[in-house]
Amino acid sequence: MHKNIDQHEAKEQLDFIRSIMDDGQRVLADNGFGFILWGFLILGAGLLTLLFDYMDIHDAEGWIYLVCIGIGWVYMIAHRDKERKQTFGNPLTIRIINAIWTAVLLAMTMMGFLGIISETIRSDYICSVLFTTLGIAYYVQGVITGKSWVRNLGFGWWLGAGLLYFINGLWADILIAAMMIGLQIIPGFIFRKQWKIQLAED
Amino acid sequence: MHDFDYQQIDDLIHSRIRLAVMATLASMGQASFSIIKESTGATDGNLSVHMRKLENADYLVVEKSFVDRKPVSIYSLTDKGKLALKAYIQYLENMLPLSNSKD
Repeated sequence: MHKNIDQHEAKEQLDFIRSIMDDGQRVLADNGFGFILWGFLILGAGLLTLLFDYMDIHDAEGWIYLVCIGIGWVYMIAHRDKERKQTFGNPLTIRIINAIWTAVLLAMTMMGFLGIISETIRSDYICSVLFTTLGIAYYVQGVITGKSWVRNLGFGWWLGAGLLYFINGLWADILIAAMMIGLQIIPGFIFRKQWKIQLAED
Repeated sequence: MHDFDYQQIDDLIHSRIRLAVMATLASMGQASFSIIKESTGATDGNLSVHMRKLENADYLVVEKSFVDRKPVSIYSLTDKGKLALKAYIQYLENMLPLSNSKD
């Protein structure tokens, strides 16, 4: 038995389809592991640097960061397919978010190493430059996925980066650690929790 | 290859929940039951019934897998389902005055 529908109902149905598809473009279920991993790697590198400083070993900083950031990149490349399979959402949205994060992380890696080696960026203030860049990825992801709390993380990174342009030493180290925990690791766990809820079998 | 009649409405899709399921999967490519539930606003039981109808019609397919050692059901549209949704949208567009005036 086929139903007859009028123009009004046809328009309503088309608007309904459009709204559902628009909402679908904002869905992004990310397992959050990348956020957590990078957060712990950078936090770990910072703590190791402090430990080495305490032990009067001052030329290991570059190597510590090289190893930690290297681990992050190796993981990302090795697990790229697995991560893709575990991420759900509109394919274009996923591609845009992945492209932004890859571009930002690559830019940060280049600035972090080449900037310091070439002495065009002072090592004392490298975090302010890097975190200014990192804020872009959070801000864009928040806007695209319609999550204001993720967008606000971008503002958090920019605020912290702004302060780090003017302070260094112990207070800068404390602020960097707090940002890494509060704006990277904890959000990673929130993403992971939301992802588990989105995949949960009912 | 499936032939769909663009002059006839597909009763299977012409239900708010089933249409929402089809549109969600068309937009996302694939989605878990929970994501579809959130998108449609349907209850578990109600959604399961509608999903089964779509599955029985070969409009969608479910792939069971394990993520993080937990069972997960991932739904996606079949080629038949994509064509059916396309035909349904075409039918609706044909009903609107603008598309009629083009013919």
